[in-house]
Amino acid sequence: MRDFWTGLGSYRLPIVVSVLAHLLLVVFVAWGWEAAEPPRSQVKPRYVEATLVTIEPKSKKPQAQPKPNKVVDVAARRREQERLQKAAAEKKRLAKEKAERERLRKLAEEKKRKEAEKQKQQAEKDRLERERKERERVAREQQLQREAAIAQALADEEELIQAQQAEATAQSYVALIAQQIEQNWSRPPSARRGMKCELRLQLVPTGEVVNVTVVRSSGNDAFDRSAELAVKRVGRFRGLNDIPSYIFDQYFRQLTLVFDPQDLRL
Amino acid sequence: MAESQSLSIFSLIANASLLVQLVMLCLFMASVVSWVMIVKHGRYQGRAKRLFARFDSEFWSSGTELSQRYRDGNASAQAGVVEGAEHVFRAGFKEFSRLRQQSLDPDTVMEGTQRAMRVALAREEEKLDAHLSFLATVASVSPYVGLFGTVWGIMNSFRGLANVHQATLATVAPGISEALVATAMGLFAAIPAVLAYNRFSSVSERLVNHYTTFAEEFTAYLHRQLHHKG
Repeated sequence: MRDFWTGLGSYRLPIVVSVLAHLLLVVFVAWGWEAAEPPRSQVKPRYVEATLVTIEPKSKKPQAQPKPNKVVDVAARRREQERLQKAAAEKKRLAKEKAERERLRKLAEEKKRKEAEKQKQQAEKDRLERERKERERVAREQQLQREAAIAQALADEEELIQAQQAEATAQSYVALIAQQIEQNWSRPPSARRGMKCELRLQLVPTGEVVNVTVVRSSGNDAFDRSAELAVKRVGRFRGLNDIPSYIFDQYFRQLTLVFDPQDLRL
Repeated sequence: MAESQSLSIFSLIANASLLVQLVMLCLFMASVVSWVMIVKHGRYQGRAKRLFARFDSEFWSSGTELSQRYRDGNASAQAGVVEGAEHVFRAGFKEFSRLRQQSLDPDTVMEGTQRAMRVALAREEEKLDAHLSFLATVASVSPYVGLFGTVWGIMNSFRGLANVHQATLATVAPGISEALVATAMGLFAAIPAVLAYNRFSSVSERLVNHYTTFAEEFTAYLHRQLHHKG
Protein backbone atom coordinates (compact mmCIF):
# COMPACT_ATOMS: atom_id res chain seq x y z
CA MET A 1 0.00 0.00 0.00
CA ARG A 2 2.78 2.33 0.93
CA ASP A 3 4.67 1.43 -2.22
CA PHE A 4 1.65 2.16 -4.22
CA TRP A 5 1.38 5.65 -2.81
CA THR A 6 5.07 6.43 -3.23
CA GLY A 7 4.94 5.05 -6.75
CA LEU A 8 2.04 7.39 -7.30
CA GLY A 9 4.16 10.30 -6.08
CA SER A 10 4.64 11.98 -9.40
CA TYR A 11 0.92 11.59 -10.12
CA ARG A 12 -0.33 13.08 -6.91
CA LEU A 13 -0.51 16.67 -8.05
CA PRO A 14 -2.07 15.93 -11.45
CA ILE A 15 -4.72 13.79 -9.81
CA VAL A 16 -5.58 16.48 -7.30
CA VAL A 17 -5.74 19.13 -10.01
CA SER A 18 -7.88 17.05 -12.30
CA VAL A 19 -10.34 15.95 -9.65
CA LEU A 20 -10.68 19.50 -8.36
CA ALA A 21 -11.30 20.81 -11.86
CA HIS A 22 -14.04 18.27 -12.42
CA LEU A 23 -15.66 18.96 -9.08
CA LEU A 24 -15.66 22.64 -9.92
CA LEU A 25 -17.25 21.88 -13.24
CA VAL A 26 -19.97 19.78 -11.65
CA VAL A 27 -20.76 22.54 -9.20
CA PHE A 28 -20.90 25.16 -11.94
CA VAL A 29 -23.06 23.02 -14.16
CA ALA A 30 -25.44 22.36 -11.32
CA TRP A 31 -25.75 26.01 -10.46
CA GLY A 32 -25.79 27.36 -13.95
CA TRP A 33 -28.44 24.89 -14.94
CA GLU A 34 -30.72 25.81 -12.10
CA ALA A 35 -30.17 29.49 -12.62
CA ALA A 36 -31.05 29.18 -16.28
CA GLU A 37 -34.53 28.05 -15.40
CA PRO A 38 -36.10 30.29 -12.84
CA PRO A 39 -39.17 28.74 -11.33
CA ARG A 40 -41.93 29.98 -13.47
CA SER A 41 -44.90 30.78 -11.33
CA GLN A 42 -48.10 31.23 -13.12
CA VAL A 43 -49.79 34.38 -12.09
CA LYS A 44 -53.43 33.81 -11.81
CA PRO A 45 -55.48 36.76 -12.84
CA ARG A 46 -57.21 38.29 -9.95
CA TYR A 47 -60.72 39.11 -10.73
CA VAL A 48 -61.96 42.35 -9.43
CA GLU A 49 -65.32 41.69 -8.02
CA ALA A 50 -67.24 44.81 -8.33
CA THR A 51 -70.47 45.11 -6.58
CA LEU A 52 -72.48 48.20 -6.87
CA VAL A 53 -73.32 49.76 -3.59
CA THR A 54 -76.36 51.83 -3.73
CA ILE A 55 -76.55 54.55 -1.22
CA GLU A 56 -80.05 54.59 -0.22
CA PRO A 57 -81.28 58.00 0.49
CA LYS A 58 -82.21 58.27 4.11
CA SER A 59 -85.81 58.41 3.49
CA LYS A 60 -86.90 61.65 4.88
CA LYS A 61 -90.27 60.96 6.13
CA PRO A 62 -92.12 64.14 6.07
CA GLN A 63 -92.72 65.17 9.60
CA ALA A 64 -96.15 64.90 10.68
CA GLN A 65 -97.76 68.22 10.47
CA PRO A 66 -98.77 69.67 13.75
CA LYS A 67 -102.23 68.63 14.37
CA PRO A 68 -104.60 71.47 14.19
CA ASN A 69 -105.83 72.26 17.58
CA LYS A 70 -109.08 70.73 18.21
CA VAL A 71 -110.39 73.15 20.59
CA VAL A 72 -113.94 72.61 21.15
CA ASP A 73 -115.47 75.70 22.07
CA VAL A 74 -116.54 74.63 25.52
CA ALA A 75 -116.52 77.98 27.04
CA ALA A 76 -118.91 79.31 24.51
CA ARG A 77 -121.24 76.50 25.15
CA ARG A 78 -121.15 77.03 28.87
CA ARG A 79 -121.82 80.62 28.39
CA GLU A 80 -124.65 79.71 26.11
CA GLN A 81 -126.12 77.51 28.73
CA GLU A 82 -125.85 80.20 31.35
CA ARG A 83 -127.49 82.53 29.03
CA LEU A 84 -130.11 79.97 28.32
CA GLN A 85 -131.01 79.79 31.88
CA LYS A 86 -131.22 83.53 32.04
CA ALA A 87 -132.35 84.63 28.60
CA ALA A 88 -135.44 83.74 26.75
CA ALA A 89 -135.87 80.37 25.15
CA GLU A 90 -135.95 81.85 21.69
CA LYS A 91 -132.78 83.64 21.98
CA LYS A 92 -131.25 80.66 23.59
CA ARG A 93 -132.29 78.44 20.80
CA LEU A 94 -131.08 80.84 18.20
CA ALA A 95 -127.77 81.19 19.84
CA LYS A 96 -127.51 77.53 20.28
CA GLU A 97 -128.34 76.89 16.69
CA LYS A 98 -125.90 79.44 15.60
CA ALA A 99 -123.20 77.97 17.76
CA GLU A 100 -124.06 74.58 16.55
CA ARG A 101 -123.84 75.64 12.95
CA GLU A 102 -120.63 77.39 13.60
CA ARG A 103 -119.14 74.38 15.21
CA LEU A 104 -120.26 72.06 12.47
CA ARG A 105 -118.87 74.30 9.84
CA LYS A 106 -115.61 74.55 11.65
CA LEU A 107 -115.46 70.82 12.09
CA ALA A 108 -116.17 70.19 8.44
CA GLU A 109 -113.59 72.65 7.39
CA GLU A 110 -111.06 71.13 9.65
CA LYS A 111 -111.79 67.69 8.37
CA LYS A 112 -111.48 68.76 4.80
CA ARG A 113 -108.16 70.38 5.40
CA LYS A 114 -106.82 67.34 7.21
CA GLU A 115 -107.91 65.13 4.38
CA ALA A 116 -106.13 67.22 1.79
CA GLU A 117 -103.02 67.28 3.89
CA LYS A 118 -103.03 63.55 4.29
CA GLN A 119 -103.50 63.01 0.60
CA LYS A 120 -100.63 65.25 -0.23
CA GLN A 121 -98.40 63.42 2.23
CA GLN A 122 -99.37 60.10 0.84
CA ALA A 123 -98.65 61.21 -2.70
CA GLU A 124 -95.25 62.48 -1.71
CA LYS A 125 -94.40 59.25 0.05
CA ASP A 126 -95.53 57.19 -2.92
CA ARG A 127 -93.45 59.21 -5.27
CA LEU A 128 -90.31 58.83 -3.14
CA GLU A 129 -90.89 55.14 -2.83
CA ARG A 130 -91.30 54.75 -6.54
CA GLU A 131 -88.16 56.69 -7.26
CA ARG A 132 -86.16 54.62 -4.84
CA LYS A 133 -87.44 51.42 -6.32
CA GLU A 134 -86.63 52.65 -9.78
CA ARG A 135 -83.07 53.48 -8.80
CA GLU A 136 -82.58 50.12 -7.18
CA ARG A 137 -83.89 48.35 -10.20
CA VAL A 138 -81.54 50.22 -12.55
CA ALA A 139 -78.57 49.50 -10.31
CA ARG A 140 -79.45 45.85 -10.12
CA GLU A 141 -79.79 45.64 -13.85
CA GLN A 142 -76.47 47.29 -14.41
CA GLN A 143 -74.77 44.94 -12.03
CA LEU A 144 -76.35 41.98 -13.69
CA GLN A 145 -75.16 43.22 -17.04
CA ARG A 146 -71.64 43.65 -15.76
CA GLU A 147 -71.58 40.21 -14.24
CA ALA A 148 -72.90 38.77 -17.44
CA ALA A 149 -70.14 40.50 -19.38
CA ILE A 150 -67.45 39.07 -17.13
CA ALA A 151 -68.97 35.64 -17.29
CA GLN A 152 -69.16 35.96 -21.05
CA ALA A 153 -65.48 36.85 -21.29
CA LEU A 154 -64.50 33.95 -19.08
CA ALA A 155 -66.66 31.60 -21.06
CA ASP A 156 -65.13 32.87 -24.30
CA GLU A 157 -61.67 32.20 -23.06
CA GLU A 158 -62.57 28.76 -21.84
CA GLU A 159 -64.18 28.05 -25.14
CA LEU A 160 -61.08 29.09 -27.02
CA ILE A 161 -58.88 26.76 -24.97
CA GLN A 162 -61.34 23.98 -25.41
CA ALA A 163 -61.49 24.61 -29.11
CA GLN A 164 -57.74 24.34 -29.36
CA GLN A 165 -57.75 21.10 -27.46
CA ALA A 166 -60.56 19.81 -29.56
CA GLU A 167 -58.66 20.78 -32.67
CA ALA A 168 -55.63 18.78 -31.56
CA THR A 169 -57.75 15.78 -30.69
CA ALA A 170 -59.55 16.03 -33.98
CA GLN A 171 -56.24 16.17 -35.82
CA SER A 172 -55.15 12.90 -34.29
CA TYR A 173 -58.37 11.26 -35.34
CA VAL A 174 -58.09 12.68 -38.82
CA ALA A 175 -54.67 11.08 -39.01
CA LEU A 176 -56.24 7.81 -37.98
CA ILE A 177 -58.84 8.12 -40.71
CA ALA A 178 -56.22 9.02 -43.30
CA GLN A 179 -54.21 6.00 -42.31
CA GLN A 180 -57.14 3.68 -42.81
CA ILE A 181 -57.93 5.19 -46.17
CA GLU A 182 -54.32 4.77 -47.15
CA GLN A 183 -54.43 1.10 -46.22
CA ASN A 184 -57.40 0.50 -48.45
CA TRP A 185 -56.21 2.56 -51.37
CA SER A 186 -54.96 0.84 -54.46
CA ARG A 187 -52.96 3.01 -56.73
CA PRO A 188 -54.37 3.36 -60.23
CA PRO A 189 -51.74 3.12 -62.97
CA SER A 190 -52.43 6.64 -64.15
CA ALA A 191 -51.83 8.20 -60.76
CA ARG A 192 -48.97 10.61 -60.74
CA ARG A 193 -46.92 12.23 -58.08
CA GLY A 194 -48.50 15.34 -56.58
CA MET A 195 -52.11 14.46 -57.33
CA LYS A 196 -54.60 15.26 -54.65
CA CYS A 197 -58.33 15.50 -54.40
CA GLU A 198 -60.68 16.74 -51.77
CA LEU A 199 -63.21 14.33 -50.32
CA ARG A 200 -66.21 15.06 -48.21
CA LEU A 201 -67.16 12.27 -45.86
CA GLN A 202 -70.33 12.05 -43.88
CA LEU A 203 -69.81 9.93 -40.83
CA VAL A 204 -71.97 8.69 -38.00
CA PRO A 205 -70.60 8.29 -34.49
CA THR A 206 -69.97 4.58 -34.92
CA GLY A 207 -67.46 5.45 -37.62
CA GLU A 208 -69.63 4.27 -40.47
CA VAL A 209 -69.41 6.18 -43.71
CA VAL A 210 -72.80 7.41 -44.80
CA ASN A 211 -71.72 9.18 -47.90
CA VAL A 212 -68.59 10.16 -49.70
CA THR A 213 -68.24 12.67 -52.50
CA VAL A 214 -65.37 14.20 -54.36
CA VAL A 215 -65.50 17.91 -53.72
CA ARG A 216 -62.51 18.95 -55.76
CA SER A 217 -61.14 16.71 -58.43
CA SER A 218 -57.48 16.02 -58.98
CA GLY A 219 -58.00 16.24 -62.71
CA ASN A 220 -57.68 12.53 -63.09
CA ASP A 221 -60.92 10.59 -62.95
CA ALA A 222 -59.29 7.30 -62.17
CA PHE A 223 -57.48 8.82 -59.23
CA ASP A 224 -60.67 10.43 -57.87
CA ARG A 225 -62.54 7.18 -58.22
CA SER A 226 -59.79 5.23 -56.51
CA ALA A 227 -59.87 7.62 -53.56
CA GLU A 228 -63.65 7.37 -53.32
CA LEU A 229 -63.44 3.62 -53.60
CA ALA A 230 -60.85 3.45 -50.85
CA VAL A 231 -63.19 5.27 -48.48
CA LYS A 232 -66.07 3.02 -49.46
CA ARG A 233 -63.93 0.00 -48.97
CA VAL A 234 -63.12 1.08 -45.45
CA GLY A 235 -66.84 1.28 -44.83
CA ARG A 236 -66.50 1.80 -41.18
CA PHE A 237 -63.58 3.59 -39.58
CA ARG A 238 -62.19 1.88 -36.56
CA GLY A 239 -61.21 3.73 -33.45
CA LEU A 240 -63.70 6.56 -33.73
CA ASN A 241 -65.95 5.26 -30.97
CA ASP A 242 -64.16 7.12 -28.28
CA ILE A 243 -64.37 10.58 -29.78
CA PRO A 244 -66.18 12.95 -27.46
CA SER A 245 -69.51 13.67 -29.02
CA TYR A 246 -69.10 17.42 -29.24
CA ILE A 247 -65.88 16.98 -31.18
CA PHE A 248 -67.54 14.51 -33.44
CA ASP A 249 -70.39 16.86 -34.18
CA GLN A 250 -68.03 19.70 -34.83
CA TYR A 251 -65.48 18.00 -37.05
CA PHE A 252 -66.52 14.60 -38.21
CA ARG A 253 -70.16 14.60 -39.07
CA GLN A 254 -69.12 16.48 -42.16
CA LEU A 255 -65.44 15.88 -42.73
CA THR A 256 -63.62 17.43 -45.62
CA LEU A 257 -60.22 15.99 -46.12
CA VAL A 258 -57.55 16.29 -48.73
CA PHE A 259 -56.50 12.95 -50.06
CA ASP A 260 -52.85 13.43 -50.85
CA PRO A 261 -50.97 10.17 -51.16
CA GLN A 262 -47.66 11.96 -50.92
CA ASP A 263 -48.52 12.65 -47.33
CA LEU A 264 -49.15 8.97 -46.99
CA ARG A 265 -45.62 8.21 -48.05
CA LEU A 266 -46.56 6.57 -51.32
CA MET B 1 -47.93 15.72 -18.41
CA ALA B 2 -48.89 17.22 -15.15
CA GLU B 3 -45.50 16.75 -13.57
CA SER B 4 -43.42 19.81 -14.14
CA GLN B 5 -40.38 17.99 -12.91
CA SER B 6 -37.24 19.90 -12.24
CA LEU B 7 -35.06 19.12 -15.22
CA SER B 8 -31.86 19.67 -13.35
CA ILE B 9 -28.91 17.90 -14.85
CA PHE B 10 -28.64 15.60 -11.86
CA SER B 11 -32.21 14.45 -12.03
CA LEU B 12 -31.70 13.83 -15.75
CA ILE B 13 -28.72 11.62 -15.01
CA ALA B 14 -30.46 9.87 -12.16
CA ASN B 15 -33.46 9.07 -14.35
CA ALA B 16 -31.43 7.70 -17.23
CA SER B 17 -31.34 4.00 -17.92
CA LEU B 18 -28.56 1.88 -16.45
CA LEU B 19 -26.60 1.54 -19.66
CA VAL B 20 -26.65 5.26 -20.30
CA GLN B 21 -25.55 5.84 -16.74
CA LEU B 22 -22.65 3.44 -17.22
CA VAL B 23 -21.65 5.22 -20.40
CA MET B 24 -21.75 8.54 -18.59
CA LEU B 25 -19.65 7.14 -15.76
CA CYS B 26 -17.07 5.81 -18.23
CA LEU B 27 -16.88 9.15 -19.96
CA PHE B 28 -16.54 11.01 -16.71
CA MET B 29 -13.73 8.73 -15.60
CA ALA B 30 -12.06 9.09 -18.98
CA SER B 31 -12.24 12.83 -18.62
CA VAL B 32 -10.74 12.73 -15.14
CA VAL B 33 -7.93 10.41 -16.15
CA SER B 34 -7.15 12.32 -19.32
CA TRP B 35 -6.90 15.50 -17.31
CA VAL B 36 -4.50 13.76 -14.94
CA MET B 37 -2.42 12.86 -17.95
CA ILE B 38 -2.64 16.33 -19.38
CA VAL B 39 -1.45 17.99 -16.19
CA LYS B 40 1.33 15.49 -15.58
CA HIS B 41 2.58 15.50 -19.13
CA GLY B 42 2.31 19.24 -19.47
CA ARG B 43 4.49 19.69 -16.43
CA TYR B 44 6.95 17.07 -17.63
CA GLN B 45 7.35 18.61 -21.05
CA GLY B 46 7.65 22.09 -19.64
CA ARG B 47 10.44 20.94 -17.39
CA ALA B 48 12.16 19.10 -20.25
CA LYS B 49 12.09 22.24 -22.37
CA ARG B 50 13.53 24.36 -19.57
CA LEU B 51 16.24 21.80 -18.80
CA PHE B 52 17.24 21.52 -22.42
CA ALA B 53 17.51 25.29 -22.87
CA ARG B 54 19.72 25.55 -19.79
CA PHE B 55 21.84 22.53 -20.72
CA ASP B 56 22.32 23.67 -24.28
CA SER B 57 23.53 27.14 -23.38
CA GLU B 58 25.79 25.87 -20.58
CA PHE B 59 27.29 23.07 -22.57
CA TRP B 60 28.54 25.06 -25.51
CA SER B 61 29.38 28.33 -23.81
CA SER B 62 31.24 27.27 -20.68
CA GLY B 63 34.75 26.07 -21.23
CA THR B 64 34.65 23.38 -18.57
CA GLU B 65 36.27 20.10 -19.27
CA LEU B 66 33.96 17.29 -20.34
CA SER B 67 35.11 14.91 -17.64
CA GLN B 68 34.53 17.64 -15.09
CA ARG B 69 31.05 18.13 -16.41
CA TYR B 70 30.43 14.44 -16.25
CA ARG B 71 31.49 14.30 -12.64
CA ASP B 72 29.29 17.26 -11.80
CA GLY B 73 26.29 15.33 -12.93
CA ASN B 74 27.17 12.24 -10.91
CA ALA B 75 25.18 13.29 -7.89
CA SER B 76 21.93 13.74 -9.75
CA ALA B 77 22.60 10.59 -11.79
CA GLN B 78 22.73 8.59 -8.60
CA ALA B 79 19.35 9.96 -7.59
CA GLY B 80 18.11 8.81 -10.99
CA VAL B 81 16.82 12.12 -12.22
CA VAL B 82 18.93 12.63 -15.30
CA GLU B 83 16.71 13.81 -18.12
CA GLY B 84 16.84 14.86 -21.72
CA ALA B 85 20.02 15.98 -23.39
CA GLU B 86 21.99 15.44 -20.22
CA HIS B 87 21.06 11.79 -20.32
CA VAL B 88 22.23 11.54 -23.91
CA PHE B 89 25.45 13.29 -23.08
CA ARG B 90 26.15 11.09 -20.07
CA ALA B 91 25.45 7.86 -21.93
CA GLY B 92 27.65 8.91 -24.82
CA PHE B 93 30.53 10.16 -22.72
CA LYS B 94 30.51 7.14 -20.45
CA GLU B 95 30.71 4.78 -23.36
CA PHE B 96 33.33 6.97 -25.06
CA SER B 97 35.68 7.06 -22.09
CA ARG B 98 35.25 3.39 -21.34
CA LEU B 99 36.05 2.37 -24.90
CA ARG B 100 38.95 4.75 -25.16
CA GLN B 101 40.54 3.26 -22.06
CA GLN B 102 40.52 -0.05 -23.84
CA SER B 103 42.39 1.83 -26.61
CA LEU B 104 40.51 0.36 -29.46
CA ASP B 105 40.71 1.96 -32.87
CA PRO B 106 38.84 5.26 -33.28
CA ASP B 107 36.10 3.95 -35.55
CA THR B 108 35.06 1.29 -33.06
CA VAL B 109 35.04 3.84 -30.25
CA MET B 110 32.86 6.22 -32.25
CA GLU B 111 30.51 3.44 -33.24
CA GLY B 112 30.01 2.33 -29.64
CA THR B 113 29.49 5.90 -28.52
CA GLN B 114 26.90 6.55 -31.18
CA ARG B 115 25.04 3.38 -30.29
CA ALA B 116 24.92 4.32 -26.61
CA MET B 117 23.59 7.75 -27.50
CA ARG B 118 20.95 6.30 -29.78
CA VAL B 119 19.73 4.11 -26.97
CA ALA B 120 19.54 7.05 -24.60
CA LEU B 121 17.73 9.07 -27.24
CA ALA B 122 15.18 6.32 -27.74
CA ARG B 123 14.56 6.23 -23.97
CA GLU B 124 13.98 9.97 -23.91
CA GLU B 125 11.62 9.84 -26.84
CA GLU B 126 9.68 7.09 -25.16
CA LYS B 127 9.35 9.17 -22.01
CA LEU B 128 8.16 12.19 -23.97
CA ASP B 129 5.48 10.22 -25.77
CA ALA B 130 4.47 8.21 -22.73
CA HIS B 131 0.77 9.10 -22.33
CA LEU B 132 0.03 10.40 -25.75
CA SER B 133 -1.56 7.18 -26.96
CA PHE B 134 -4.04 7.29 -24.11
CA LEU B 135 -4.98 10.88 -24.93
CA ALA B 136 -5.38 9.95 -28.58
CA THR B 137 -7.66 7.08 -27.65
CA VAL B 138 -9.84 9.26 -25.44
CA ALA B 139 -9.95 11.94 -28.12
CA SER B 140 -11.13 9.63 -30.84
CA VAL B 141 -13.30 7.18 -28.95
CA SER B 142 -15.21 9.17 -26.36
CA PRO B 143 -17.46 11.01 -28.85
CA TYR B 144 -18.54 7.63 -30.18
CA VAL B 145 -19.16 6.27 -26.72
CA GLY B 146 -21.22 9.35 -25.90
CA LEU B 147 -23.10 8.97 -29.14
CA PHE B 148 -23.80 5.36 -28.31
CA GLY B 149 -25.31 6.40 -24.98
CA THR B 150 -27.43 8.99 -26.72
CA VAL B 151 -28.66 6.63 -29.38
CA TRP B 152 -29.54 4.06 -26.76
CA GLY B 153 -31.41 6.61 -24.68
CA ILE B 154 -33.34 7.97 -27.66
CA MET B 155 -34.14 4.44 -28.77
CA ASN B 156 -35.67 3.72 -25.40
CA SER B 157 -37.59 6.94 -25.33
CA PHE B 158 -39.08 6.24 -28.75
CA ARG B 159 -39.95 2.73 -27.74
CA GLY B 160 -41.84 4.20 -24.82
CA LEU B 161 -43.54 6.54 -27.27
CA ALA B 162 -44.87 3.64 -29.28
CA ASN B 163 -47.04 2.58 -26.36
CA VAL B 164 -48.59 5.98 -25.89
CA HIS B 165 -51.80 6.57 -27.75
CA GLN B 166 -51.39 10.25 -28.21
CA ALA B 167 -47.86 11.30 -28.91
CA THR B 168 -46.80 14.72 -27.80
CA LEU B 169 -43.45 16.36 -27.64
CA ALA B 170 -43.61 16.32 -23.87
CA THR B 171 -43.55 12.52 -23.80
CA VAL B 172 -40.24 12.26 -25.65
CA ALA B 173 -38.51 15.46 -24.66
CA PRO B 174 -37.18 14.38 -21.23
CA GLY B 175 -35.82 11.12 -22.63
CA ILE B 176 -34.02 12.84 -25.48
CA SER B 177 -32.72 15.50 -23.15
CA GLU B 178 -31.24 12.95 -20.79
CA ALA B 179 -29.79 10.99 -23.69
CA LEU B 180 -28.10 14.06 -25.07
CA VAL B 181 -26.26 14.54 -21.79
CA ALA B 182 -24.17 11.50 -22.76
CA THR B 183 -23.06 13.12 -26.02
CA ALA B 184 -22.25 16.31 -24.20
CA MET B 185 -20.06 14.40 -21.79
CA GLY B 186 -18.33 12.57 -24.62
CA LEU B 187 -17.49 15.85 -26.32
CA PHE B 188 -16.45 17.30 -23.01
CA ALA B 189 -13.93 14.51 -22.53
CA ALA B 190 -12.77 14.51 -26.14
CA ILE B 191 -12.10 18.17 -26.85
CA PRO B 192 -9.36 18.76 -24.25
CA ALA B 193 -7.84 15.42 -25.12
CA VAL B 194 -7.57 16.36 -28.81
CA LEU B 195 -6.07 19.75 -28.03
CA ALA B 196 -3.59 18.27 -25.56
CA TYR B 197 -2.64 15.48 -27.90
CA ASN B 198 -1.86 17.84 -30.73
CA ARG B 199 0.14 20.15 -28.55
CA PHE B 200 2.08 17.45 -26.76
CA SER B 201 3.00 15.55 -29.89
CA SER B 202 4.31 18.67 -31.58
CA VAL B 203 6.32 19.68 -28.49
CA SER B 204 7.72 16.17 -28.13
CA GLU B 205 8.72 16.07 -31.78
CA ARG B 206 10.53 19.37 -31.44
CA LEU B 207 12.35 18.21 -28.31
CA VAL B 208 13.42 14.95 -29.91
CA ASN B 209 14.75 16.96 -32.85
CA HIS B 210 16.74 19.09 -30.45
CA TYR B 211 18.17 16.01 -28.74
CA THR B 212 19.11 14.45 -32.06
CA THR B 213 20.85 17.60 -33.16
CA PHE B 214 22.70 17.73 -29.89
CA ALA B 215 23.75 14.11 -30.26
CA GLU B 216 25.09 14.83 -33.74
CA GLU B 217 27.01 17.84 -32.58
CA PHE B 218 28.44 15.95 -29.65
CA THR B 219 29.47 13.09 -31.89
CA ALA B 220 31.23 15.50 -34.20
CA TYR B 221 33.01 17.01 -31.22
CA LEU B 222 34.17 13.63 -29.90
CA HIS B 223 35.20 12.59 -33.35
CA ARG B 224 37.31 15.66 -33.74
CA GLN B 225 38.93 15.05 -30.35
CA LEU B 226 39.67 11.43 -31.10
CA HIS B 227 41.23 12.03 -34.48
CA HIS B 228 43.11 15.06 -33.28
CA LYS B 229 44.92 12.94 -30.75
CA GLY B 230 45.32 9.96 -32.96
